[in-house]
Amino acid sequence: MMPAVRRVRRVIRKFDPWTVFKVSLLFHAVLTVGLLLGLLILWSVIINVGVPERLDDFLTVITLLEDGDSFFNNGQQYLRVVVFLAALFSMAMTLLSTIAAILYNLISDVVGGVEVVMLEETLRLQPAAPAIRQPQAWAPVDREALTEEHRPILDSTEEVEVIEDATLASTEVIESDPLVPSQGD
Amino acid sequence: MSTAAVPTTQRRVRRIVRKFDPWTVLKVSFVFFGISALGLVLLSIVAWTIIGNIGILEEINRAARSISLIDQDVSLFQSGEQYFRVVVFFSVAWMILMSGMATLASVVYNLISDVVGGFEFSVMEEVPIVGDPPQEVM
Repeated sequence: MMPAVRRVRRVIRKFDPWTVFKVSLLFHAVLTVGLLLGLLILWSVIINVGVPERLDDFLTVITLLEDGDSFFNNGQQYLRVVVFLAALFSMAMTLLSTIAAILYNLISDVVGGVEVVMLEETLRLQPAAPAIRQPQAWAPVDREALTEEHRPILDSTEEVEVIEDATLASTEVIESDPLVPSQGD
Repeated sequence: MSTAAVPTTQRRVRRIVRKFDPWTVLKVSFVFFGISALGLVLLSIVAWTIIGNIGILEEINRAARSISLIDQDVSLFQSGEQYFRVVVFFSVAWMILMSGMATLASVVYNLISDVVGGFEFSVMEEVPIVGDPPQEVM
């Protein structure tokens, strides 16, 4: 398939808010989950390195903490807070992008939308190569139905050389071509 | 133009965005960020009022007085008018900056897409059914 490409100008006039909502909901959900996982991994790395212990030691030294107390013993609760904030972030971003889409629609009504130049793939076809057909019948040619450019060909007495072509011989012969109306019609 | 009356079908085609017209991007983003800035100013006024009514400002003043940062009869937040002016100034600056950035981004995109070709999208296109439906390519 050889698609034709053309260069055109298009003005973006409208984003469908509902589809923007759907896509951005999923997008930000995935983003949030990824961020959460990254944060968890970072947190476990930090704990394994021993940063919280040393922070606790330091805080104990400056008597902000009592001896034996820890700043980081309720990691479960921190996690819950972070998950809550992440969910809030995802919802807020989804809402914001939907509002932005609606706002864009209103603005593009006033000032016209953003104009972009696009390369478009078109399905408008080049005329297909004529199928190789076997003559269905040696019917007498109706000369009146032929156009002017065909008549000289018919009238020519020139000898036509028959070429034995290997590629032609191996070409599959198409019995019925749906694109070309048959002669009976 | 009664496009709704024409029966349509959908087809999936590829589109490559080669160029954003910077002028239209400037127009749209200026209005967009103008409205956003207006919303931000309104939001900050509302938030300021709520914070003042809750009494957080008084608390901060009290704390500042207790560490002798300010005198007893002075408030940190008596020049609300001036703060408001600063907020308005910054939101206007933000609006101009952001629309300039968007326009610049579109110009940069145009230059980049000349080098590497632009974004390619697969879009579902609504096409009117007139005459023959699109035929398969041989």
